[in-house]
Amino acid sequence: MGMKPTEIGMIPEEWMIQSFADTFRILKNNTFSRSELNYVSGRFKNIHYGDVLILFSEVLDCARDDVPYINDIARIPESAQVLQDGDIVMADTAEDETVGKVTEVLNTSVKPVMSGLHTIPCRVKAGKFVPKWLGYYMNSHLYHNQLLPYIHGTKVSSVSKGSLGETAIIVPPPGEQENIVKVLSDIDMLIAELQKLIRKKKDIRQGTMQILLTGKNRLQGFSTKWENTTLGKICDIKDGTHQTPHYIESGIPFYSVETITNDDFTHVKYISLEEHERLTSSYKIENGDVLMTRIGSIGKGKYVDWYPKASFYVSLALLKFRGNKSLANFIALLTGTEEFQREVELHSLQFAIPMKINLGQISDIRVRIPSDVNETVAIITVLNDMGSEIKWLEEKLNKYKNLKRGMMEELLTGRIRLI
Amino acid sequence: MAVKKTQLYASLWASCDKLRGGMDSSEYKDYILTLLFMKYVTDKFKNKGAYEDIKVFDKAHDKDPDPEKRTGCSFDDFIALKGKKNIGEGMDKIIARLANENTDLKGVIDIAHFNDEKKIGRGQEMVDKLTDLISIFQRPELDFSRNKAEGDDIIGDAYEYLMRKFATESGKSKGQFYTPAEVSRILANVVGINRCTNSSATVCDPACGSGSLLIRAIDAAPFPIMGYGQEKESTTAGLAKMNAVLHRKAEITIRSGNTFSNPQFLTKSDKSESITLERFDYIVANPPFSMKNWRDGIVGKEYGRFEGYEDVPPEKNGDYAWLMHILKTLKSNGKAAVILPHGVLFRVNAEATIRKSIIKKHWIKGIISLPANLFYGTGIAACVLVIDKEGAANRQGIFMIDASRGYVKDGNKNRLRERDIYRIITTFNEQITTDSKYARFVPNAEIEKKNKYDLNITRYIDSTNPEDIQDIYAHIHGGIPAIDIDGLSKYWDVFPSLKAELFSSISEKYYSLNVTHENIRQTIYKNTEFSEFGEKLDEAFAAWKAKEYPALSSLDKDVCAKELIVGLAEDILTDFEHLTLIDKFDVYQVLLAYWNEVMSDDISLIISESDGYHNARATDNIEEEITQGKHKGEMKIIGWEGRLIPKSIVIDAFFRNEKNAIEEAENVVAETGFQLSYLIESADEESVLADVAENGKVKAKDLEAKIEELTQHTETEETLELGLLMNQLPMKKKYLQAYLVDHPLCESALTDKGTVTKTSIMMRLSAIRTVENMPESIQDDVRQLKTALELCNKVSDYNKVVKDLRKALDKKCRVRYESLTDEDILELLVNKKWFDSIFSGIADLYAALSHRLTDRIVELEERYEKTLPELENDTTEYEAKVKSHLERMGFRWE
Repeated sequence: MGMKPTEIGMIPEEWMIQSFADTFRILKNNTFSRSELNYVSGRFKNIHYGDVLILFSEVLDCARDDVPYINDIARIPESAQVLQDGDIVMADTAEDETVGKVTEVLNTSVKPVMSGLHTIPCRVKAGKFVPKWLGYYMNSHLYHNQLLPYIHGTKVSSVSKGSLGETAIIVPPPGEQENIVKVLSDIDMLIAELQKLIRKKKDIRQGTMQILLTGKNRLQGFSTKWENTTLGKICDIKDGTHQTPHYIESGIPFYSVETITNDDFTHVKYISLEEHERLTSSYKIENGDVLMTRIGSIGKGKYVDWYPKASFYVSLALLKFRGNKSLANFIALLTGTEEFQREVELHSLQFAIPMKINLGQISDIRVRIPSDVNETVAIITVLNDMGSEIKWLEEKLNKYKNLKRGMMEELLTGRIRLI
Repeated sequence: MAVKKTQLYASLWASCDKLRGGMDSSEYKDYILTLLFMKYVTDKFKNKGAYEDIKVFDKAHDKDPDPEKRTGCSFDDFIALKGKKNIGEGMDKIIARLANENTDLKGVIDIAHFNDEKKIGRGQEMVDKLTDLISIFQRPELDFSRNKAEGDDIIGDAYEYLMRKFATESGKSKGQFYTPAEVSRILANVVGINRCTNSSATVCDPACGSGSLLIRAIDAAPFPIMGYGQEKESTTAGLAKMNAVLHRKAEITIRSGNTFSNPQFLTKSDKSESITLERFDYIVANPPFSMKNWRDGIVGKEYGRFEGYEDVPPEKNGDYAWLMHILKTLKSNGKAAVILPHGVLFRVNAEATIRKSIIKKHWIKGIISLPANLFYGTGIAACVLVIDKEGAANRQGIFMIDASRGYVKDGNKNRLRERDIYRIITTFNEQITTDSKYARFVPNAEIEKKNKYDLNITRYIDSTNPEDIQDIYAHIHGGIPAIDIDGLSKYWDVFPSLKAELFSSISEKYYSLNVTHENIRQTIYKNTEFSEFGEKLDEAFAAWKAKEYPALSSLDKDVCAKELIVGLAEDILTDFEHLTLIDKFDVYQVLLAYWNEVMSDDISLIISESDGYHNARATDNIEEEITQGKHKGEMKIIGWEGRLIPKSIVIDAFFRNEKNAIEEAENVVAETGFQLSYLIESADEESVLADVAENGKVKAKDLEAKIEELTQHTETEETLELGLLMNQLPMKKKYLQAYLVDHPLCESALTDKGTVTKTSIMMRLSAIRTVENMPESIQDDVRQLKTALELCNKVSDYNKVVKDLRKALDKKCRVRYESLTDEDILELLVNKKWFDSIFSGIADLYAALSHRLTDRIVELEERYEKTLPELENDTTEYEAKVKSHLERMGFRWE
């Protein structure tokens, strides 16, 4: 099959190109800020640019709960227009180059919906498009790259209505559009189902923690009484450096409270080897320790199951379990329970700003632990396996998301045809 | 013109703030508050002789023989200086003269120097700034000479308002001089001063700052009692003295000095000649938190304050030193309420020892834990310690309140709402323990044995919510756990049938939802018991309304507004008590918020002005400052509003027809506009209309021009003839007549005078061309353009109609106010304005109730809607589909 050259590259011969200006009429948007919207009730729903950028995918089912309502209909400008199925809403402002993200609205008949702050609502005036085609096409690199030269602004990036006119909209024959949309919708459905599945697995793991870590339910074969103790009795508690170190481009990782709260040990700050050695002269983070937040966020734990070479800040406590790795792992898991959090709160300087718990108070935190080490091992195995499964599913989800980007590139440019 | 108090304060603040320049708020306040004070004493006492509290006179009445010193000492003398070069120096002299005449005011009002080039500015800048400042206080609404009704404390409240603003604006830790009014009210009401029976009782604030807390405490006493305040900073002590004068509290003594190293209230003890500290019946205090170096200079001045507690407070933290000072200066049956940081409840080492020995004396009656971030200059969370030495011997425990969760965000600070204040005060004074997550009476044994004298409130009151359990069985097999549904029992108790409508039991432990996700809200609204609850709410409100109407419809000068609202609030709490689903404190908040915002101003106007309710017949212009152009700075009238009754209520009551007419005309505009945009939208891409339209809109003049352009090409026999004639003009009359005989078609251009002119031909031509005979090819376009033009004109015609009707109604409405009868006024003001507004706030609570219920049910429904096996099946199914798509795209794998 033949390809033809166009201003946006090679496309199949029987595909047409028409300009944005020839395709769309631009409608009026309103400028309601977040504070003027609610998720409870109202006569009109409203599409806010932040949601277009982050929350909504290429196609938006307007009946969804997370499309907010307008609080005060008296403040809707007279010129504001209600959206129809197939309209395109573009976010014209963003903090980065995602500006120009669009969503195609569907299912607008349930509640009238309007286009809000920092959006450009567009209605097709000419051209034959099957539902969802434009939503997918206009989010592809092929289209978005055309916007890049027009993005302006320093603090925030914006595109203006005027600059869209010359951008090119591809119009394949309707049947082919339909085939492409079907494929992309199916992978979207898969992604949505996977997200639900992950949510479900996380809920189940949370439920499992609620019963296993508290001893409410026991795993088969275990019946010895659990032991009441305090953290101070089962581990040594230290904190990180009190001085803010000198950060450098790359070097030895330096963990702080955000490292734990975001559970991200790759995007961290770095310090020099010399400073690291000075800071860790008396003790350092080792495999089998637990890191726990104590300033800003309190009582969130992380089991160190890797072999780190890193320093850490005063906002973290380091719990050393004298080689008892399964107990360390158990305690790290225990920090995710409400009972533990309540204990932490009880021992914290509850009204300090930021929140804070002192080392002495951490050692007073009461915990109940299995007295049979085999039971400890059995419990952490259950929960770690569940955790690994969730991680595996999340990786799979990411894989499908990337696969979808790939499929969009191939299908929307006509490099691979579905005829 | 009557000005609402809140508006008055706000505009006063705004004007002053505009002139602040680079000065820090904490310094600027001394100037503004001094001016306010000067204005007040001038209005109140000028030229009235010495029998008044303060001697104030103007230059004409100044009897000083020395012409240099004969300056007068009143605000009027300031006014005379406006625009003069020596204004700064002159003002300082006048103030000095006032301080000389009234020695009490020495060191009080002469602290701020107006002739200070560094702060105010040099030369003309100083003249302009001081002149502008004086003008602000010259405004007619700041005339304090008229007698206001008792209890209407305009000047004191204005002072308080400005201080709060200055505290808010002041840099870090400089706002300390001010205790937020809400907290002061709590202290004044829990210390027990309102039950005082001894008319010679005394009250002290050893860290009085600007004096607001002390003044509130005295206000709470049933009769005037003597108050004593000590403040370290002499400028702040000055503020406190002014504050006392403005609140007409003559019985207050303010001294400045460091409370630890230089206590000011001393007495000689009876037996020996030695000097001891004066002791008081009541003490209220909000001392600086965690003060360092409190021991500086106290050697020899301890007066035994820091002995007897088995240890001494740490050098770097004076919290317990303050408490010890207070305990020492309290009589043996004295009572105190002190704000201290939370740390005093649980800090270790010396402070733990001291805490233990104080607890053992059983002096602590109560502890109230407050939200964080309430105070100016610190974000630290604090608590109120209530001390009562009387009855210590029989005290069985400590009453504790965890009020840390009740507040509203206000800018970067938290603020207690009326409901929070009320709940704290009633819970404490009546020792209410019905909600164990809020307040408990904690027996001594629990404190001493179980918790080893650690008073941290979280050890005694668990105010956390129950854990949200994830039910694994339900995640796998489906159903909503009964434990979650039962957790909503407070709703089912009132709406039992709703539970049955929403849920069916599928087993002992699980329910299924009977309705779909989208219909949950509807099901709740349609439920009979739910709507019956709404009716009960209406009834409760009607009962309260009936109770209060007589008082609210017969207000006069004998009514005390502060007592009135207390009564209204107590009644509304009683009347809503039985409706357990609605938090009665929320209802209280609705009433008080409306009272503070609107109703108290209305009522103080009615009771303080001689016209009383008849003020409702008055209307006032609304003015706005012109912000640019040559009239910049002047005021212009931008509208008007009823003094007591809003325009919208009068229109609803008397001008329904007019209002409907306007709405109808507005509907025509909207409807026509819709037709027009539909016409444009549906116009063919190639049509002329689509060409004229821009962004879906057209302008009448563009349409006209286009029609003109299209039709002027139309030629008929007549247009051709007229064209020929036009070229021959001007033509003598007799030739013309002959010409017309030969060319009868041209007669159509004849004027009344029987002549033909260029204009008359043009008129005829356009008449022909707009009406008929245009070529077939453009007929459709022109017809469409004409329809659009008609619609366009209709829109602008009706817009004009709306405008005219509005104007006419506005005029009629303003006139109508004057003829309101007494009955009208009561109906519109009491029923339509006050009661209806309060009711709409309560109706919102009802709506919020259903939202909370719906949100929780939706959350549960989404959590358990699909089971794990179902989700796994769906995922597998879509994975297979995607796989087959990929195969079709040419990607295969095994």
